[in-house]
Amino acid sequence: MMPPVQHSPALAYTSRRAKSAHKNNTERKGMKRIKKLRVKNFKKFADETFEFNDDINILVGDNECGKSSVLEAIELCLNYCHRGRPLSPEVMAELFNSACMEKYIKGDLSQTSLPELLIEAYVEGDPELKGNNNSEGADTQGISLKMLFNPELTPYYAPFATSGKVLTVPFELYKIEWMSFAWKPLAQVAKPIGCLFVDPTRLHPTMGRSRYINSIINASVDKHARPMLNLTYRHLKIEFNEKGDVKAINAQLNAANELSTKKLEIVADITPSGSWDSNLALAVDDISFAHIGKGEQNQIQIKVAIQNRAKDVDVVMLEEPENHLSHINLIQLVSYIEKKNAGKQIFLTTHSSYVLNKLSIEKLCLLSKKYEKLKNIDAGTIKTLKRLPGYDTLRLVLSQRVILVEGPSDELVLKKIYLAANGRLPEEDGIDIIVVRGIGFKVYLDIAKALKHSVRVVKDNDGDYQKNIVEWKKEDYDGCDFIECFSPENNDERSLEPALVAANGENVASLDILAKVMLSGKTYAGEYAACADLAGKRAFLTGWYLTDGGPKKKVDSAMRIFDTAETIKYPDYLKKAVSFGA
Amino acid sequence: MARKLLLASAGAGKSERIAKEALKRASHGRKVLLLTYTINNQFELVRAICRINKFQPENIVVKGWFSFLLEDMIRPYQRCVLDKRVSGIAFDSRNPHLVEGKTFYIRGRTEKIGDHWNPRHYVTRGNDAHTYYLAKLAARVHQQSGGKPAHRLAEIYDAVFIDEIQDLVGWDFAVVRAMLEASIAEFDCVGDFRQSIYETSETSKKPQTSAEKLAEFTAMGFAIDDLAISWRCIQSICDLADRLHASDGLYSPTKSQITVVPPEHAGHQGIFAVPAARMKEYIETYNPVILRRNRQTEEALCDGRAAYNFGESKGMGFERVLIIPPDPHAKFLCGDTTAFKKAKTDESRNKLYVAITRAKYSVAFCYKGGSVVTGAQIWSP
Repeated sequence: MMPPVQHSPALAYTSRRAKSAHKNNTERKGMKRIKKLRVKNFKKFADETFEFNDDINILVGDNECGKSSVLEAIELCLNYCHRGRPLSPEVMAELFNSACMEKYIKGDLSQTSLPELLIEAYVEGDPELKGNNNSEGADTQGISLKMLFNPELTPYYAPFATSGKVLTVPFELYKIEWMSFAWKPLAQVAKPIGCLFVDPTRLHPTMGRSRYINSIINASVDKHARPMLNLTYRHLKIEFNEKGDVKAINAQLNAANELSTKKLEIVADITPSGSWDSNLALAVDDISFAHIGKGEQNQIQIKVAIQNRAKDVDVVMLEEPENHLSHINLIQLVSYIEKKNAGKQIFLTTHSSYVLNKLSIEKLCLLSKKYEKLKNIDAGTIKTLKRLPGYDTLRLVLSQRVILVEGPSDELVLKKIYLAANGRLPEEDGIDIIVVRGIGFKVYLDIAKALKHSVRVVKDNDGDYQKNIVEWKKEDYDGCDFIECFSPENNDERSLEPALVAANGENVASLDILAKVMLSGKTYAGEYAACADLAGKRAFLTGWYLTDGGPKKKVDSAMRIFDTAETIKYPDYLKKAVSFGA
Repeated sequence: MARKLLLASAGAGKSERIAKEALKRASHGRKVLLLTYTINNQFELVRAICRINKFQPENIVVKGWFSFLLEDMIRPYQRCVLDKRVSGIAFDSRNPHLVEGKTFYIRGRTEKIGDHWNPRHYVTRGNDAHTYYLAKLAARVHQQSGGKPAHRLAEIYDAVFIDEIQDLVGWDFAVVRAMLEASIAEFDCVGDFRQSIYETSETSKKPQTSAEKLAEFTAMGFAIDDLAISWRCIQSICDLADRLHASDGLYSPTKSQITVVPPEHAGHQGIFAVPAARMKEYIETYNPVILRRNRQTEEALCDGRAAYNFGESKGMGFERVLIIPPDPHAKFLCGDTTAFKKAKTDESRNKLYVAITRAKYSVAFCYKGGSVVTGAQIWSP
């Protein structure tokens, strides 16, 4: 006879996390980290793999590129919910890739053609999650979430498929498998990896606001303090019922038994459902959390999440932390994230170059046509941007057509050329002209180099085309054919103004038109007009910008060029720089 | 890598000892796995831990042998043998591949068909694993995956204790051997072959007998130690129990640790033979717990009283015990030391060992005449 051995969940106590100060242990078990995420048929991703950094991941991309979807996929896989909502057929319909649903609906509707959604988080720091039950068959730690047809519901599928009006995927007949790579089913009460999604949109009243805020509050309270809070709250409710005033009111309430023949009382709700976290709320300076400013709400949520006194959060996800914050408040918040992030893995989406530069450009995870994690970026560039985070690195990263220029006059003239040729400003066609200003081309080009991102550079030859353009490019960006340089080859055309003079200087008449546009009326009529011949006029106009107040004169001239209705000739290298073909 | 096998006699306090050892390691931040065969003993281990520490620390995990095999040794890498996830366990009381009541096999249940592993050998149509072949499946997954389950285990745990080692048999030993391939710092087995009462003698996989199992442990490099004490039984009961396995020459004499017998029990201590006719009188006088072969034994006598089958009583302890002995037991108790010699397995002898060692102060057995075993006295009020 075999003994009555059964798996007993109560006994097979599996430790949620082996937490310990013991050196060997922490060393071996380490912090919990998501190394990689694979999603199939999820939202806009048919099949995509994302690799991550252990510390901070700054997800960057254009609108609708799927930044938030990546966070949602992580939340689904780690927390088994979608933006705090439990997974129902309605929610599933939102999660599936529309192309795969379309394909099913337009296909032969066979049972095996029903689409499956897969999210796999490849992790580190919890050997209990180890196994090779993942799409790669790799022996590694991880969690997988699968939404697929439940074969037990097969009898219900045929009537549906043959009904003649299949407009959607029958998610009601689906099941969800949430397991570790060891094929052990997971439970929400004992999630192997703690993940907190700070999502300001959940503050909206329709999103079950109080539950969300309270999950945030929960993270701020020590694990052992939670029961005390609840006990004290229950005490408080009992005290309320016992208060003299309340008793007096209750005595009067139904004094003559007019309302009811039974005892009628006003009491504090002491049902088990009335635990503290559904009734207590956070107040800031005596103002309820829901009523303080959005910016303050945002900051508090993020700080609480990062501080996480309960120490049960391994992964923190922040959606656009810059939202609702003034620049100064953003600076404070980012420095908080930088300093207080005690070993947690952070995922954040942002549209702010400041956030990206300050938290380190090397943590960039770019979602464009394909996913790319920035690596091998120059240490000097990282440092420069941390110190000078005001530069528009995100514009470079996100724009498909970028032109880097040295100064505002180059920008104005390029815009003018484009406008004259196309009738629209370059930005209207997605061409972004960035003035590199003080930090120069290097920082921007290092980023472009690391990402193999196409970029055009309009650069002065400063009197030596070979040295300042050809050799300069060869030295740092040899073989980077995605970096294109535009500069006059003639060493006499050392910068924009001499190049303009050269382009319009073939005769006095054309040069006069240019000079009239570029110079003030007074200078044109006076000093310029006084020059005897073409050579003299050319020399004067070129030299004008080398005299006192040169930079201001350059900008003034460029402004006048931008505003003029006159037709002037532009140097070829500039025309080429703004010409992107069909 | 320390490997120890501790043979603990009944009542030696092995649960306490395991709990203490586990807690010591847990307090140093190590993660400990306690494995045991029966659900009763899982409870007992948790109780023992809580007697010392009030609550079970999160880095001590107590698992049953079957759930351990399924969750840790099979599922993580099962796809090298079975592609479809094993959904659960199907309990077998006999070899599920044998035609019922016959000695020949159901067709299509061989381990391999051609070059392919045959799922029907290991799992039911509902994809539940046969307990009868669970250890074999675990050993197979380990072998086919190149030892991955053991290495995973070593990443999770610093120490593994297997209690009730006597209940492991055949393929279970292949699993123990597999676990030893990885560098788990400490590997301790605890048990007592004298208390092995679940013989799954249908499988032919060695080891089967206590002697074979002991030899296997030695071959695996375990240092064997024994704990021949009893915190439960008085010396005369220990002596009687020891005599059952004396001829094996494997065990040291058990020393009782009981120094004081409470006055209410002091008047009636030791081994007694109660004539069949006076059983009712005896029961009414001393109110012993009755241990019997099965529920059909002396139903009228047991009705309304505390009574357990021999197997059920394992792990329990009572002040006074009354044994209703089946034939070989009666022969032995009546002085025939060769009573168990002819038995194919140790089951019967071990059951009597378990029954005797449940008692703290007095063991009585139903006696139908003849001489009695040395040390016993015929009861007369």
